[in-house]
Amino acid sequence: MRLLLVDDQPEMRRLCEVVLRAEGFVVTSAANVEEAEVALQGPLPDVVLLDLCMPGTDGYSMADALAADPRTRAVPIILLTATSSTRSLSSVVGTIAKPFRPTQLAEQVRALLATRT
Amino acid sequence: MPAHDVLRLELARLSQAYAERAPAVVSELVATVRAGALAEARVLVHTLKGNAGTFGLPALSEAAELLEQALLAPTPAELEGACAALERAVSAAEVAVTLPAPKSLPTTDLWLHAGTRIGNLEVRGVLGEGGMGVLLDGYDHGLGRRVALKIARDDSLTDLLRKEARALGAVRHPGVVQALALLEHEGRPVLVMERLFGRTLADHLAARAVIGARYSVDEVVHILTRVAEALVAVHEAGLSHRDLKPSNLMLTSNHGVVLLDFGVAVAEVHAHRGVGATACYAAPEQVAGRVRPGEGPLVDLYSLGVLGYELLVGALPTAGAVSVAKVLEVRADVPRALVEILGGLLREDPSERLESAEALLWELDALVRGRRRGRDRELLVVEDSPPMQAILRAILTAADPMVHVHVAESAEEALRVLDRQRIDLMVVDLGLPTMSGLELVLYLRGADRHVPVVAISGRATPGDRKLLRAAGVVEFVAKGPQFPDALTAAYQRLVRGPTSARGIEA
Repeated sequence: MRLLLVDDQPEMRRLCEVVLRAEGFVVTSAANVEEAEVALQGPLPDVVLLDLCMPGTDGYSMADALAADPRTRAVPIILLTATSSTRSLSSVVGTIAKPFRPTQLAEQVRALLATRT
Repeated sequence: MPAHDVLRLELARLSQAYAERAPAVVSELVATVRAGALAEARVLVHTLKGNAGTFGLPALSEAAELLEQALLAPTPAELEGACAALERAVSAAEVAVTLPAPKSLPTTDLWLHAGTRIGNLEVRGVLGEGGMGVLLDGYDHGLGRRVALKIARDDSLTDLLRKEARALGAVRHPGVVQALALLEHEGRPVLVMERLFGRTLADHLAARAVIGARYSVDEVVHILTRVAEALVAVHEAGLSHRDLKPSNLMLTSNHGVVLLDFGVAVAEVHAHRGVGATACYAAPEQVAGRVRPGEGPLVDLYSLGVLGYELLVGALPTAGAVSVAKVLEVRADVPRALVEILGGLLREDPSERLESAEALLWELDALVRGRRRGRDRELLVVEDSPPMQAILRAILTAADPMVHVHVAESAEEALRVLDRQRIDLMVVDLGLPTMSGLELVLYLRGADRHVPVVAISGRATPGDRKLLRAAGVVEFVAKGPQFPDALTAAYQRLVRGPTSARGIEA
């Protein structure tokens, strides 16, 4: 499964990469929305794991932009967030609350994607 | 290396990297709060809360959550309190990363392998190895919990492992790793112990050395206190550990410190036996093989003294009689009372040493209570010369070992410090760049800010002195050969006397 990870924190990005790759995900990482947009010009991922709180363009803006683009509209988004409340967005299939247990991240991603089908 | 070990290793590395960066993250967040940029602070605190928890720093995550709540309906006092809690938590966070740290894998062939079952116990992998034993990761299917299993490195060491098990079995204390059972498998002993999560003080010391960070006085006192509490339990059980050193202390979550590896622990009835302790931490009588019966606890106290010295100085003492005066040469912030405690632990003659771990706890407790009282007196030194700052800090700390000294390099910085925290007394150099010390004193008087001041200068004119007196500053100390004594006397007069008559207040 191809996953695009968008998070501005380098250690958090690396942690997600390590645990998700160990579980068989093919992970592409982006440190901000701009890098993510470049990555999305290639083959589309099966899911986007998107940090909500980022400097500059935040996760909501990116989720809105993905939903508005016919090419990326169908790509499911999972939000990574430490906030208790999130806006409801059509393409967001769920949220993973930070802090999370690293070794359970892959399981949580799969579980959220399973609820979509 | 098995894939799960690689993953564990990588996660531990990432956790450590995050713990090392966390102080800078907290510093930025606190500065943002204090600058009043609360919207930006909310974003930063959300990120900190989520990341700290994920990287195994739950106390820091909780402190971030406190600040997050304070930011919902902010009052200055609550925000400042939450910021202070966050700063304390990040300081402590470095002492307690809860993800397991990687250990070197054994080079010897093991007779227990991953997948081996001993009754309800399953061996899952290797955690690390020491001089005498190998520690394995295990799972108790009966009770549904993780355990650690210790086996001897070779058959000649199995008796020592049995002795260690009996020693551990005699002690019950949260600061001592708990023995759960001693099993026999294929004719060999297997010591089942509680599974601890954390990293050893040796690993932590090495990480601090890499980033050049020292242990604060509070951290050192905390570690010494926790170890002393554990030693009280060990000694009361009639044992002495005999190999107290950083690699035998595990830093666990919630600021716990747990004493490990009782492989050379000795029952006091056998205390004269020479055993293989680690030379750098061994007491002189232990090195000479002349530990008298009943004096094993004094051996542990000496090792604890070496440990305290190492934590403060960042290096082990040189061989031979240890001079604790070196601590003060290297660390002006260390209270004399703590140095005296270390001196009491490091006496070459065991009969002159602090007599017990319990006595050490009393001393440490008195030190902590004294520091709390001392912290009621916050001093601000306003001096632009770094060498002079160090001299002033040393003189003032010697005059009042419990005092907390802040330093500002300019009058402008001093005003910022005064804005954000209570200052009880200032030592102000008159010859500051841009805004002079005299201007600072006059400004504070004009702003109706009442802080007692000792003015210092190498070349104040009679006119300056007159202006100082007009501003209510009666304590002036000229820089020169008598400066240390004169400053100490002026400080003590201000502290003891009625401050309203001596401060800026007219």
